[in-house]
Amino acid sequence: MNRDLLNKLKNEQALDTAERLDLEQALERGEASPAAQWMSQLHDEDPSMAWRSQLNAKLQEIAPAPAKKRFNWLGTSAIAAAGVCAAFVLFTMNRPPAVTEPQPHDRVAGVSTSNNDLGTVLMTAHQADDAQIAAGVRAPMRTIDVGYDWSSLESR
Amino acid sequence: MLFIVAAGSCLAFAQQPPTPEALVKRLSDGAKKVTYAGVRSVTMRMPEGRTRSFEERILRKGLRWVITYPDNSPYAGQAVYELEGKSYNYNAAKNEVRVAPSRFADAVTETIRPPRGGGSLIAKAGTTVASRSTWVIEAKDREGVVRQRIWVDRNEALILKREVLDSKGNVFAGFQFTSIRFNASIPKGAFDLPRGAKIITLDAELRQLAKEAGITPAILDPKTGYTLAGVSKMEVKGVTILRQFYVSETGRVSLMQTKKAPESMNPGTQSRRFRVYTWESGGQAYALIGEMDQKELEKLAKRVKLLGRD
Repeated sequence: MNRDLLNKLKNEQALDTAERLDLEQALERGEASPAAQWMSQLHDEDPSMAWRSQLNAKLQEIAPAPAKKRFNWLGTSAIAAAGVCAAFVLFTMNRPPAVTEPQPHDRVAGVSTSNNDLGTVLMTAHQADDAQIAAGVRAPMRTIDVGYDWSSLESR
Repeated sequence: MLFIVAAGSCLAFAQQPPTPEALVKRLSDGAKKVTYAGVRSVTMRMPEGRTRSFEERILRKGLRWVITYPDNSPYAGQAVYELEGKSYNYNAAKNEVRVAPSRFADAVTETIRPPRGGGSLIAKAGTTVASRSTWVIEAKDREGVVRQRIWVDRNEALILKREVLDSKGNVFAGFQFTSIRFNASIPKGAFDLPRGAKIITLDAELRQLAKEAGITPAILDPKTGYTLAGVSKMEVKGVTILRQFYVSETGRVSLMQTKKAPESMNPGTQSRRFRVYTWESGGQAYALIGEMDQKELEKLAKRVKLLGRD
């Protein structure tokens, strides 16, 4: 990397594609050129992703609290009694053997994050990345993303 | 009569699939020459377990690609350029380009091989994909479970469909061309990166995400031969995990990092394929995950260092 590039950077002049690639590759290699050093000392003014979490926090603040339901003793008791009866009938009809063999299963395949331990979630994340690389596909960043997971609403 | 029998024999012989090795070589040799415009459907299971599908429009000339997305796609306004071993994800709305190692070059030139730890490749006649006849190659592991399938065009050096499978046969990631035009006329300047966009390297992204998560970032020493290929963060049980994905000629590993893990980062049961090595240091918890034995992972874990320190 040469002095011209350093001067361009200091004067905030536009770089052409080749210069930008040179600079980016030098930064990735941790090169000790004057331009790379100068860039590494700059304060990163990239808009922080923190605005997403701030937005989420604000949305949570203004979100209406779930309405408290009145407890109905009569209805609840009736449902509970019916449930106990049904469970007893099912238990006596489909009583399993006293001892069951442990079912072999692959902790990685087909896991969902809802009811698994942290280790399994991390393993699934690795497997997803690994499969994407193997298949030669990638998911770009969503163009418009306000940081909310809409999938639970879309699937209804 | 004899003529009919002879013709039938010739036809049968012509329909015999080439060996997997011959197909792989044809793909590798032809990768630099193939030119097309195509539309393909991509499916992938995301790290949180959900499956995502979307459509890509691809222009390719040899090892140069540009991928764009339809207007109704969540990725509309973006383009992914694959140029000289690097991938450039351009986002018009933010006027920025994220740079990472190429995602496709290896997948095109190395195509398919038996899974680590042994296995086999089998070639046979495949179904029609995008109105093209194919040969299909299956990669099976030692237990005979199919781990990957590729559908190769019978006349061109191109994979028309690909599936990477889990141990139960479910697709973890893959794609399928729905239409393709070989030797298409590629517009001039199609592979030119947009001018004036801000370039964001993986290193800068790592620092930014770590800062947001309040984590002091650590990296896998580049001298190990592993290159950072992706960085992201995920929330699990209220804990922020910083994820880094590394690739080398011999394997792929994930480095997971958090301030303090609420529970073990090691799954209760080890996978048949992947191993996990976990440790704590300097008030932070780490996990290294890869398709290799425990000793190899432990050796790599010793090469993890805080970013900016030798």
